[in-house]
Amino acid sequence: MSSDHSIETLTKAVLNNLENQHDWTQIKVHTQANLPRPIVYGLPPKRLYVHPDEQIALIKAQKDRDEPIHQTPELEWVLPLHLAEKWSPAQFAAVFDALDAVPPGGAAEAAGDTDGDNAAAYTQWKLWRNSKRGKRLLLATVQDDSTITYYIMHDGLVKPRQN
Amino acid sequence: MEEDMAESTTVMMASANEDTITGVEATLPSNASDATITTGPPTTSPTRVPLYKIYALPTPIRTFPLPTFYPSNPISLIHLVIVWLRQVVSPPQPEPSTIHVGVWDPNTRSVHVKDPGSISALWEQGFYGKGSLSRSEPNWMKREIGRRESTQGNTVSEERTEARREERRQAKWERAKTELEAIERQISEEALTQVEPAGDIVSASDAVLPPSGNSPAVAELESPLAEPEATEEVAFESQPPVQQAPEEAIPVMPIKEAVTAQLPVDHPIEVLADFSVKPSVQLVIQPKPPVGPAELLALPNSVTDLIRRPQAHEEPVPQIVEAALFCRPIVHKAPVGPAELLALPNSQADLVATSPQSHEEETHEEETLIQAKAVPICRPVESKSPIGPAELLALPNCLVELMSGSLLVKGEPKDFEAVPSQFQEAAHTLPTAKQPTAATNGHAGSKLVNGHAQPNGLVNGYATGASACVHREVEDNDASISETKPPVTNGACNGITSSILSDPASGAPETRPIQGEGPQLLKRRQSVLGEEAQPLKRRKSVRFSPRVVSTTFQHFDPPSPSRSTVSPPKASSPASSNGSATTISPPSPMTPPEPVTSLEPVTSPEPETTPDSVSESGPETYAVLKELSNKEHFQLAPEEAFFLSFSVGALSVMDPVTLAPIPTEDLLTLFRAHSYFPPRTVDSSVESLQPHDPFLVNYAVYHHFRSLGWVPRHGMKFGVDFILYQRGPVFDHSEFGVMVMPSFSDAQWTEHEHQAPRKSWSWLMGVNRVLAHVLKGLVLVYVDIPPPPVFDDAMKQGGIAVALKLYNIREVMVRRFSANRNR
Repeated sequence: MSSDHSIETLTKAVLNNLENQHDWTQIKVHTQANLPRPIVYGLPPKRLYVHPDEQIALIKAQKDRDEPIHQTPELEWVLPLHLAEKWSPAQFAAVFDALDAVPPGGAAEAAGDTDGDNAAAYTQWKLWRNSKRGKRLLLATVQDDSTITYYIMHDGLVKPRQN
Repeated sequence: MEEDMAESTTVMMASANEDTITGVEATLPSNASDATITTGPPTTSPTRVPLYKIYALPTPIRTFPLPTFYPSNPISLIHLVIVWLRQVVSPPQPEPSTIHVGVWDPNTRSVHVKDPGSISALWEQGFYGKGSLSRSEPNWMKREIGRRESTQGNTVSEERTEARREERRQAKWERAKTELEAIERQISEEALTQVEPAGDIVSASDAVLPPSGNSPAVAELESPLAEPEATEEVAFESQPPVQQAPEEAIPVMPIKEAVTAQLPVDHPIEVLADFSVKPSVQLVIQPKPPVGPAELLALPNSVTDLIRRPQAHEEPVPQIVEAALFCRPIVHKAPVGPAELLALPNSQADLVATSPQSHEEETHEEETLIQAKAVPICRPVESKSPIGPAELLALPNCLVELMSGSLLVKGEPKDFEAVPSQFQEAAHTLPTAKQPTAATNGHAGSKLVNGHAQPNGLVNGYATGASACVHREVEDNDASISETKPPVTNGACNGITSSILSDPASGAPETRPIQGEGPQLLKRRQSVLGEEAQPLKRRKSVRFSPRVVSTTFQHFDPPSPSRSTVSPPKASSPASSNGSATTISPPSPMTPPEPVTSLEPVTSPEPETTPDSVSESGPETYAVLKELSNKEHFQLAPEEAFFLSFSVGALSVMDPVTLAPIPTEDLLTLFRAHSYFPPRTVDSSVESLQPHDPFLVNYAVYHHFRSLGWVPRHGMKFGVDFILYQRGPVFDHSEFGVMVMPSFSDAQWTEHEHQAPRKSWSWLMGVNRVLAHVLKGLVLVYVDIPPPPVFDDAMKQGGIAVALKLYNIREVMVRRFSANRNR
């Protein structure tokens, strides 16, 4: 079908752009039954989103240590979309329902949260990376002049960051 | 004409080779090479062609206008005639002379241009197109090369933007940290003010405590004294730890002390120091100057003590001991009186006393002089300043001795008759020196820096005592104390006392010769100070680390030292001539516009003409660059491609499979169909394309603004359809953001199904807000779309050229007006 083909080409365009323009690594395409279209996930070179409460936890945990906590990037979902498409919130909700919070392969570092002897502040910031964190994805909107704009989209209401 | 052609090509060449002009010289026709060398700009400095020269041509089309005729200037007529004749004799080629080639790509729904010459021409002459992996100008290759040669620092604008964003992120992180600390501090402060469940204490402390540790005047503290008096006893009962404070010795507010007992040490609370408080009370009391007369007299070594003292001359020790008892609150007043000065340890008087020949002269002492060998430093000696001439001359090292050039061991009034002049001088100087009153005694008016003595205010060549005296920082130094100059004391005293009185933390000051001091005096003083002199303690030292490391995350740095996920560049097939051509000339994104076929032979002689950045790195980089292929392609949006091919005629779009040029009508259909997602199939039976196709509406707007001279580019970055540049993205930021609003105002539209866009107020507010943040104006462009029968009619008559005229464009600029802000 032409729509499948066009979705496929759209996905390819997003893949290419992520890899070459934005230096993403470990990019893969994830298909699932209840997903309306295949979704991309990969590892960005830097962290894309820090929740304001996570930032507070990080600063508190960093106060005791000398060196700052290195913020390793985490795997992110990317949903490719074309500018001409008009999606409703119901469609987006369906995508969120089908997805886990952390893409496959990203839950490994979130598994070991059993540092009981450390202070509460230390583990607090780690909680923001495990599978219980809020769902989010990157909405990649493609325009025909090859511009791809990425928006961070959360599932539900999220405390805004300090501007 | 040929010259014009040459001009156009040379302009393109100049743009391609920004650093060198060898290309320009090579293509200049019929010019001796010697001549070109002299005419060209010096190649030693990196010659950057100015932007307005690179981007001088607004469209990829040449025009040959006749020159203007100025009736007042007859030469203009000649010029006009010459040009006209030339055009008649050898007319220029029909424009557009160069037709660029693009390929339609259905996967990206756009037209790709591969030829580097065409890429540069299309970009420079009107800003058409965009690099697929860049922000606007195709500089992906430049970025990659800049990353590999990180030492050069050749970065592209995207990297610079990223660096700026990183700085902002760091600044925001720091700001968040500071805010958190401020919040925590506030919380802890508030927690401490909630001292005890006892409400009266809280209220008393609130009434008594000054806000946030400022230094209030004494009056402030005394005014609420009356109120907490009643609660005084209650307060004391409820606080057992403070019971040690004896009730009988509380002339002033004890409640302050009770409160301060629970406050942390660093909480600056002003308490009236009561010297009758027993030393067993563990209080941190910031001392206050005892300004009341009773307090002053209660101080050790006050006048009353002094009066008593000569009678108890044989027993200095018990008095000292008694004085020591009163010593806790450390009130440091500058011992400005000479008696005080001499009372200090290691004063001249002491030295005199210790020296062997002075022993027999001990008995001859003035009343005002106090010889206390074991006076603790913590107890400042207060004495009446000797203002009488006899007293002055009785001081050691007085005028008499200085004049004689020798140090008299003792201050005996000798040779009074011999020095009448000096005596008169001294007497003369007396009125100028202000008598420090009992109330203000002890506070030298001069400011001292870092505990070092600085000569200040000379009276007849002698530094006054005030200058040399150091006073401990008393919290609320009465600002009302005027600049007081204690009576004239000699420099030697000052020098010595300055060394003693100086802040032990800062060490002894330098032994500077005080003005007017004789050389012998200075030597003596220095010898005295020798054993005490310590190197100046510097307050602050800045250390620079030997290694300067950047604190911002550079994009080419690995994400973390542990996991370095830099993937090596993929080596592509050598068949892509684009890649190999562009690798050779890195600084300019565009290679010289040469035909595609000649690229291979060009690569071999290229190494010697490579710009400095590549040649410096040597053959290894060259090899790396050769492997690095340009993954980026140049992409034209459908509107741009159609404008270039239909309106300007400078582009021909090829079919990807057959590589045959697509005629304009088919191209239009193709674009219209692909303006939907997923693209609509065009069946002759079913009319799926309509006059209000997104492509048609957008193209009408694009064509409208292009013909007016604007440079419209896609504006999805700013949430709008188009952004309008006045000259181009290279020159300045766009001024306007255009939202296309299809309008179905024709009466016939009621019969045909159409979807009128429903835009809400929140949408308008949102768009306006986003554009306001990026300092652009919002332009709503209403496009009156012809109804289908009218449109089809027009299409049959003359194609899109006729049909396009039916689209009426109305622009409305929207600006937010806020009654209280826009005045």
